[in-house]
Amino acid sequence: MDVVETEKILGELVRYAQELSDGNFDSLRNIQALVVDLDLVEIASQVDEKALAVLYLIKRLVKDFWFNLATDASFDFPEDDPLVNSFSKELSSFIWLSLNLEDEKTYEDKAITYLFKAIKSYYMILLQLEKMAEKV
Amino acid sequence: MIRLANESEMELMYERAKKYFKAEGVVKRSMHGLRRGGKSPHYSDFDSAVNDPHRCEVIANIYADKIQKITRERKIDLLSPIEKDKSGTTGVIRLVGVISILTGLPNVPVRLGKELRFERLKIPRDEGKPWKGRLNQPNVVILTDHCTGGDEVLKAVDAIEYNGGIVTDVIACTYVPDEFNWDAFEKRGIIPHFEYPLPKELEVGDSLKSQKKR
Repeated sequence: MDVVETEKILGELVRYAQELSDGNFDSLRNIQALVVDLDLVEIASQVDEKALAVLYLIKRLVKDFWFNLATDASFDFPEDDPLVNSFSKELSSFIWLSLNLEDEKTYEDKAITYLFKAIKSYYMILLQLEKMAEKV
Repeated sequence: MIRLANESEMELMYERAKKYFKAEGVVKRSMHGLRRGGKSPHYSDFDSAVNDPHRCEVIANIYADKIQKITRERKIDLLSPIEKDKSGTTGVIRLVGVISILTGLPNVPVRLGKELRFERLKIPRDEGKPWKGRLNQPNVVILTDHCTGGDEVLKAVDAIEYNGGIVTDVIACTYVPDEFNWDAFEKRGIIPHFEYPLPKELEVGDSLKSQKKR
């Protein structure tokens, strides 16, 4: 995956987040489809720490959401539940605000910046190991 | 001693399995979420098929029979069941030990949840060789429970090829003919083998009469 494709994915994520905040639940399905097979090790060096962390957190959270509420569940997916609507809006706000975080003005900004840095470092470790795997 | 069923026993097993998948409650009506975010109004419950020892025997024999038929056409060296990455069922993993015994073929699960590509197959490294490509080009059959589009299987193919294997075939118990990406598999030279198409040939209507409808 090249830089252009990665940028396209981020653009789509922002678009789906906007649609999600407008109450279009299908956008959550689109986000799941967008990230479910995304290889974050492959794109880790192409994106900044904010984008990598958002993709990582969204991939994990939406996957958990889908795994526990939708796939192979013994109940119908509670699509009309007001809490699902709240989840969608909160997720949408997280995506938008995180990708647009510029100044660390508050304690919370600093905390989330350190979380993003930790995720980036984690992927740098994985990238090193991937490179090592190709050498004798 | 566990042995593969003979030809006449196999015929009965295929019939028993077909009846099972048509039985009430096996193909379920539910607004079921697919791995890639899509939704389906029904799905088959593979896990409950292997909870029962007799059904488990039937399903394991069906996989083993299909593998035996493939080995008449080409040499197969390894079986790779897909370890599901938070995508629903535990899949065929629960059966693979028995299938291995029945076919006499070793198995290595594909672990799609692993971030590192060389970790997606749990096999040791040969001293003096890189991790990447460490398998010595064995012919591999991927085993899974169900295919909708086949994306998850293609991810498993990538993992096996990265580690030096050659995927020749994939076997799944159920599939969705209209959704399956036949072209992608043909382009990669991989032959899919399925048993029960969903939903048409399984006539889900009868099997759903006690299920909640939406």
